[in-house]
Amino acid sequence: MELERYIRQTIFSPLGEEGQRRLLASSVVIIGCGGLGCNIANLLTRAGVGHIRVVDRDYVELDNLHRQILFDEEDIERGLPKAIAAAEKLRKVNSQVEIKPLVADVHHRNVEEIIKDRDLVLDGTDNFETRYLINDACVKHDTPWIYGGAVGSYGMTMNIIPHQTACLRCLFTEPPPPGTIPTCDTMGILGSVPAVIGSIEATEAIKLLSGKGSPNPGVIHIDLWENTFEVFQVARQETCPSCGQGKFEFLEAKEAAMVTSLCGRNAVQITPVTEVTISLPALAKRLQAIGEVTFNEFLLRFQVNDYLVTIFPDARAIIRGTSDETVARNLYAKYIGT
Amino acid sequence: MIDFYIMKVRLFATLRQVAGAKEVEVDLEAGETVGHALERLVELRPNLKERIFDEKGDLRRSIIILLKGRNTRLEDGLDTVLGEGDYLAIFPPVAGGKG
Repeated sequence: MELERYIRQTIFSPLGEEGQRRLLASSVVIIGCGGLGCNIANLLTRAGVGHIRVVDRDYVELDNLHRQILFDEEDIERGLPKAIAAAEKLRKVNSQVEIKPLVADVHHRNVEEIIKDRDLVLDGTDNFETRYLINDACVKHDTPWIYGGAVGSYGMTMNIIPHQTACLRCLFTEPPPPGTIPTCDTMGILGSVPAVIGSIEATEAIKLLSGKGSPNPGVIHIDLWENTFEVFQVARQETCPSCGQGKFEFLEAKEAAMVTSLCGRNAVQITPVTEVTISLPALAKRLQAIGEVTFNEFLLRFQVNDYLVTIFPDARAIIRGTSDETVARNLYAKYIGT
Repeated sequence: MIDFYIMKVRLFATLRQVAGAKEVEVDLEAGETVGHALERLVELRPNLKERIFDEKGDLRRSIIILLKGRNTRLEDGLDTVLGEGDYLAIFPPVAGGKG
């Protein structure tokens, strides 16, 4: 494999050519491609991590552009899902890297398949529901993962090497009750915060994948408005339900809600319980009589009354214009069918 | 034997803005617990009270308290006994990132 393009990082002697070759042979999955995921994917693609899977359930919107560096206005006009738009950019950046986009919601039925056979999992998600699932799946399969979160002007990140370092449940034992912690929608976010946390996650990934350097052993906390960068330790605990006792409560929560209110966005996501593939052109034909329909190979948009319904080929839908789950369920049943 | 000592409580994430401080020092007596330390903390920084405790006065589920890096929720919680040389870190989980 050609190493010339990586010369600026291979002459950085702690990494070297040997480290570079290990990066090229590595495979990672980045779950969530927003502020954090864009920065992680950008850096790891340029650094020559050989196989990168990008998973995201959403499409590109105008208010993403202030921080999500892989997207532009054309992606919005084309109605592209984030994973697809990201893959297009990343392939232009580095054709040596194999980029695999996946437009999907991560849930208890698919999370193990998504992380399987990967050397490392990177957190670019925006919610704890998915993070606890990633934690359970990664602890169960002994796959290292990197947690990262960013809100307002602050952020946190931690490397999780299952059964060696603290896991997410050693740190955050129980999920916070819905609506009790700030999100990017309620508190806002400076574009530079996910850039810094994403860059730290990417650097830790390079250390872990190359086997070089000293990975961060604790929790890094930064606040760019308050000018702080701190590291604190967190211990692995035998009483931890996940890595201490091997109870994977989130993976096993078969009844996990398939209807998710997308916090602060006046939108509800509905994921079908069974795995199906629907034909978007056929659905478009049916819906054209009722409202305005546009579609491409990745998604279909349907405007009816005050609601904007976006449907993906896996029958998942995001219904905008309501945060009421019952209203969303009814619209889904009416226009898509269950 | 030392009867009184000062313990550092470090605050992270939103709690910093609420408290207006990164770190607060609390006075403790030998044998006192994490619960006593939190009482002392909210006396000194009253704005923290509703962030740390709910209406019934119970510790909120969204608050993490690390004692020298160990999550007290996985140990004796508020009843965990403190000693000289201990320090606490308190914060809510940090979500966000994708949006």
